[in-house]
Formats: sequence, structure tokens, C-alpha cells
Amino acid sequence: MNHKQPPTPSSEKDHLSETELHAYLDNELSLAARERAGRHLAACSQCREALDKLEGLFHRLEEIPELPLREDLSNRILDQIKSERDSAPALPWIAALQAALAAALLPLTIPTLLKSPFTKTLVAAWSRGILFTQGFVLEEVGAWYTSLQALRDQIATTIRSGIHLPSPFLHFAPLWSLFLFAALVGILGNALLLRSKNQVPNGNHT
Amino acid sequence: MAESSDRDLVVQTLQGDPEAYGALVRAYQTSVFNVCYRILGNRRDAEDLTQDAFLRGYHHLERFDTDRPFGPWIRTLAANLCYNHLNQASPPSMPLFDEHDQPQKRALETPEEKMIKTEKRESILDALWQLPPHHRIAIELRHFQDLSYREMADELDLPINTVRSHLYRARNKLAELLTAYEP
Repeated sequence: MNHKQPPTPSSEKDHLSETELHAYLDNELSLAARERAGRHLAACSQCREALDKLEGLFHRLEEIPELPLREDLSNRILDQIKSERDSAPALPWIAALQAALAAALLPLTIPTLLKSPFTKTLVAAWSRGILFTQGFVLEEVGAWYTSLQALRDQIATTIRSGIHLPSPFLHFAPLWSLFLFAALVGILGNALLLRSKNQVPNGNHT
Repeated sequence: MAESSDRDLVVQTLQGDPEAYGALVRAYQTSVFNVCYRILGNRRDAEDLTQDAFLRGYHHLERFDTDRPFGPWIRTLAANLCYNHLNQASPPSMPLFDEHDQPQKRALETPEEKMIKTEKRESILDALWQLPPHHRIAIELRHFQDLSYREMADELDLPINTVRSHLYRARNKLAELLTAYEP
């Protein structure tokens, strides 16, 4: 017999295939196929005998009794859980620390941001109603790209010169803006992380 | 005080109370152990895998659908774990009656009827343990966990026709082995 094919209902006169017998006992036949198989089984002793034999195996499996456990495993399991929990870093504390650092960075960036030409550009664009236009966004992306290139060059020069460190508030405005961005991403990321940890999603275990 | 439902215990565990999970372990450890024992055929391995199953269950509890009963979920997880364990075992461990089980069982075999019944149970378990892992898991999921073909396919991540084929072949092989055991 071909096991790879799904159970296909035979005509009422044909004997039931082995596949159909299995599917019949497993209640996996369609309603029509099941009714047809039932009618055939009522009239065919040969198929009835094959079905009884298979059913006998099902009963043998059902007769396997449960074996008792020799000891309660719950303490062992709980000890393991507790030791894992104690040795693992506490996620909320890490998140709280990151949030505190990010919060400390924010006031440092605000004065620079308010004074920066980019903020002025944004305010001007807002008042002119072009803040969310494609042209404005592209123009600003280009400007930022140029600024970042300048920043890269400044860093390279600083590293090369070694001694002359410029004031970050004056010369590293894009750097402080990056700090701000990183802080916001950190806060948002941690919030999402904690939210997903406390959720009980549906679905399989695997 | 009324006993907490499985759902309450799961929620309490997720809220950080491992003792609630302890109550779930106590309620289901025997049935989970028996899943492992039927698949592995060795008491010591079955106890270890029972422990692993509950630990894994604890770590994946967020994925558990609290609208469903906990028992079938943890038993199916245990069955999958045992199946993977058998597949990873190299060379595949030949399932045997645990040496510690035999005297215990035999000691209870005083009335003749009980003895016959035990021998029958042993023969079906012995036959079950002679099947390859993919046949054993098919029998476990269908006959003991009452999963449909579709659910089995989902659990094992296999096409439904493959699962069906494994199950039918497992039964045929079991029947064959049992016939060989009959006097």
C-alpha cells in the first residue's frame, strides 16, 4: 500500500485500504468517506476483522499504565530555576541603568540642539509649511551627510594632532546630536524589550 | 483556600513567582515522566528529560497560550525533547528495561493475572522501544497525546503525509513485533 497518499475513499464495494482503516480509527476521514467506510464495514467481515485487529493494538497501547515517579522532582527543578535566575543579570536593572544614563545625556544635548543651525532650519521649514516635503527632507539628508563627513575629518585630524582637543560643544554638534539619537533609541529599545518580556503571546512552544 | 487553576499558576509564574511553577510541576510531573519513559525506555533518562522539559517549559512559558490546558502543552514539549534527544544520541541507545525497575515490578507480580497483565504491558513497551525514534514519537503524539495528523505535522514540522506514513508504519511494525512475542 502507498502510505504517502492521503486516505482516499474507495467505492463502497471495494475493500477498505489499510490507510483508510487507520484513518477511520483515527477519525481522520471526511464525513462522506467515513459514512461510506461505515457502510462497507457493516457488510464486509474481512474488513471488519482487519479493523478489529488494528483496534486491538490501540487497546494494547491504552493498557500501558503510568509508572510512578521515585521522587518528587519539583524541588530539583525549582532549585535549578532559582539558581539560573540568581546568576543571570537582572534585565530591569540594566534597563534602568541605561535609561538613567540616557536621561543624563539629554540635558547635555538640549542647549546645543537649540543653538544648532539645524534646529533653526527646522523651525523655519515648519513656519513655511515645507517641513514634511520630499525636497526639504532630501536637502537635509544631504546636509547631514556632509556634516558627518566633516565630523569624520575632524575626528581624524584630532586623532592625528593628539594634543589639541576642540570643545565638543562648539565643534562637535553633530556628535552630540548622535548622542541624543542613541539615547532615544536606547530608551525606546529597552521599553520594547521589557514590554515583550511581560507579554504572553499565543502559539506553539517550540 | 481554593486550589489555583493552571492558568492562574502560569500567570503567577510569569509575574515572577517560581513557587507557582512548582505547583504546576507537582501536578504534571508524573504524566510528563511517563511520556519520557515511553519514548526513551530508561527511567534515569526519563527523569532527566522530565526535568529538562519543565525547565524548558519555564523558559518558554511566555509562548504558552493560557486559554489552553497546560498538561498537553508540557507533555508535547517533553515528547519533542525526548525525540530530539534520541535523534542526537550517538549511537542510538537501545531501549531497555531499567535495571532498577525490574525487581520492583517482579516483586509485585504475585497474582497470576497481574503477572500476565504486566507481561503484556512489558511486551508492548518492549516492542515500542524497538521502533526507531520517528515511529515512537508518532505513536506517542497520536495515542497518548491525542493529537490529530495536522497537529502532529505542526509539532514535528513535517508534511502531514510523512507523519501519516510514520504512524501507519509504526503501528504495523508494533503489531508485527507483538505477534512475534505471542507464545
